[in-house]
Amino acid sequence: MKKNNAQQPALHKVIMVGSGGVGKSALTLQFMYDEFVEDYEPTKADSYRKKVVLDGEEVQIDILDTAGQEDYAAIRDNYFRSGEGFLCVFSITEDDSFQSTMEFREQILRVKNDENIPFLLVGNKGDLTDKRKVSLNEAQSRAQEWGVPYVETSAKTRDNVDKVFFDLMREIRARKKEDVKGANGKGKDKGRRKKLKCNIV
Amino acid sequence: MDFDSPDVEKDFPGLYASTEIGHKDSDGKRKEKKDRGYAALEGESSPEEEPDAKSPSKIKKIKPFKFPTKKEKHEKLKDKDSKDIPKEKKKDGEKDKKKDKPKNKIKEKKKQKGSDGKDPVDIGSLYENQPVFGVPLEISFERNPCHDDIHLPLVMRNCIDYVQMHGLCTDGVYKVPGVKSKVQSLKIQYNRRQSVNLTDYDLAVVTSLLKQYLRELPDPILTPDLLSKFEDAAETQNIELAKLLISELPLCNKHTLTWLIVHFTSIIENEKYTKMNTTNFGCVLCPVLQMSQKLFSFLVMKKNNLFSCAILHKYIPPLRCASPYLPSGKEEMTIELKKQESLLSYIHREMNAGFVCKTKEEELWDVQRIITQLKRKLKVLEKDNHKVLKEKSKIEDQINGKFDEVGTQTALNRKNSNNSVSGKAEVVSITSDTVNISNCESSLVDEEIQTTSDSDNEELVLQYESEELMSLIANLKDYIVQEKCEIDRLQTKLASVGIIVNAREYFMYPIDETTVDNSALFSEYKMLQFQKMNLLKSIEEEREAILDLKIQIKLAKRKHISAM
Repeated sequence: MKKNNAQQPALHKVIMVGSGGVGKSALTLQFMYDEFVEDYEPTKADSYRKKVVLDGEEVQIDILDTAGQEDYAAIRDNYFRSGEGFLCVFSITEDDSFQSTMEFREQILRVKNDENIPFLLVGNKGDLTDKRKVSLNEAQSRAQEWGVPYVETSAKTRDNVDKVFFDLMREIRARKKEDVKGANGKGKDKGRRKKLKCNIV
Repeated sequence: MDFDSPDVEKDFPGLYASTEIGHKDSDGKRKEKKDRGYAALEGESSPEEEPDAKSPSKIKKIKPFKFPTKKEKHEKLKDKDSKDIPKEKKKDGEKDKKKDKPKNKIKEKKKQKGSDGKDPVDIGSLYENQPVFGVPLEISFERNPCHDDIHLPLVMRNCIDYVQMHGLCTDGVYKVPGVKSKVQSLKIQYNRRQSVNLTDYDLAVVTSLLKQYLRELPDPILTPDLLSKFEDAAETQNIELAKLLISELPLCNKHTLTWLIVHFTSIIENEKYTKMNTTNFGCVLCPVLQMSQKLFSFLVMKKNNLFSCAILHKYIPPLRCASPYLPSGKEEMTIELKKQESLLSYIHREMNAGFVCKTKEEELWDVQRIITQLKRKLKVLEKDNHKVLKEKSKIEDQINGKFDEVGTQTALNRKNSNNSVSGKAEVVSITSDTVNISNCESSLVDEEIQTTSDSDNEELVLQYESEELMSLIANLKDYIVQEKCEIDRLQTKLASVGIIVNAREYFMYPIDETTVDNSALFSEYKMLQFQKMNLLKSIEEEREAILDLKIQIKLAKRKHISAM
């Protein structure tokens, strides 16, 4: 801390979205503090900051964990507007949560007004395979349709938790670089995007 | 909005010329009322605030959003002299337009902006359309809130705090006008929601700012509905009725009235120094407050009956940076959390009203982060209380289970020492506490160095120890911040209570003429001081003990885990 004062590390702003109880907070807390919280407590909004090393470069990640419940939809826009990348989470054990990812995607695109906003579709609760309601195929094809990667995670076992955050940060970083480069960035963006598509583990 | 103006007119003719006109038509009411209000005031009181003084600068400032340079100011003044009349006309036209526009404009802006149209100029003009000055009290509070429980627009709170601190012994406070351009610049800063540091300004500027704010309020603080009833109560000196009426006021108005009257009373009580008695203070402020001299002196005289439990405490704004400076006591955290949540909803409100810019967004995330941290800390604190017992039984086999007893004892001791001493000689003890804490901190750092030198222990022990010490340092830093806040608070208290006492009692007799009571108190104080030192020492010792125990626990846990 004493040495690196001269240069503030890059800051990437990530927003967690998805309906209530799918595990947005669980993913966030697992990523932030390596802890898994069993008891469910609805989030209104929470924000975290962490220093991480992304491909050898020290960066900061700001995570905003939003409310899944519709009750807080009014304040959502204010948050969405300031997000640079989104993790759209659903539970593979709950079809409704998968369906509502459509609405979240729409809302984000409306607020950000940008088709290529860094975005990952995340199927959480991957450890509960016996309760699976959303098939891998279904999720993958939706991700493909949107042109975004799909990753399955488990906040409980920490499976792919780091991966979703780091993948998203890479996208945000790439996006920022392109924005600096200017107009010719968009074409490249699409090419790069295809490579990243459908990253299933 | 109706009240019997004829009745009121009898009591203070001329004051409410505005209300008469106000009844004529509801559309043009507010504007006309305001303008007339100025005209009426101009003759009556302070020459510094001519109504048209604000028009030239206002018109100019709608375009660029920098503070006026000195040159500009001079130009303005010249302008004013030469083109007074045409400007006034212009102003009227401009005002009308402005009144129609705001809402549409905001919506347009919002749409235009989309994702990244965060132009500071846009925000500036948005602020101009939703000012803090010149709007009803409640709206003004919403736009410029205090984040504790006091429903008083921040601008007034800041002014009162400032005058309580610096103005209670100043000759002619509130009578002497401040430099107009500075008042104007402060007004603009508040209107633009900038953070303002009043300490950079003179007392007269601050009092003029407060008067300006009050003057621009469209409705009297006592509300148009209740004003005449208040006047009646003053006429008949009916305290019970006045109390009832005060309780009927909307929250913002009630708090504002309370704070203003208590504040003004403290100035009048210091008449010896301020040269402001009820009558001439009333002369200066009654027109601004839109109440009769009689009502004003009634409120001031009966202050102790009407506002018995009102104490002015200095505003401590919500913390702006997270982590090490957050408080760690449960109560402090709860209070801070409340403030932060109020701040958060204020930011949301502002953003929903169209004030969207990078800094606002960053603020939003920052405040949100502080709230999250506070909530986490509170949760941990609560869980710890439960866990301590459980954990104790779990690892009892490996360590002697005394550590938490020691922990709670230390906490108790600390509380005791603070309470017993600070009760008697608050300021002194708290300052010395702060010093002690920092001493304590440095001694702990020393200790760390010492332990590093006897490196016959395992590396692990050192690592744990330094971890513990770091967290201890963080905690101590928290305490220092808390104590500083407390000092601030007490100083204001002192300013409101102490100076009056000083002025009345101590200044009249030489200080060394101590009475028997005083010497008794003094020796008691000395004793308590001594006790405090002892307690502090024992706290320090116990802290060290806790530290050792914590390290042992960690080591034991590690063993336990590796054994499993």
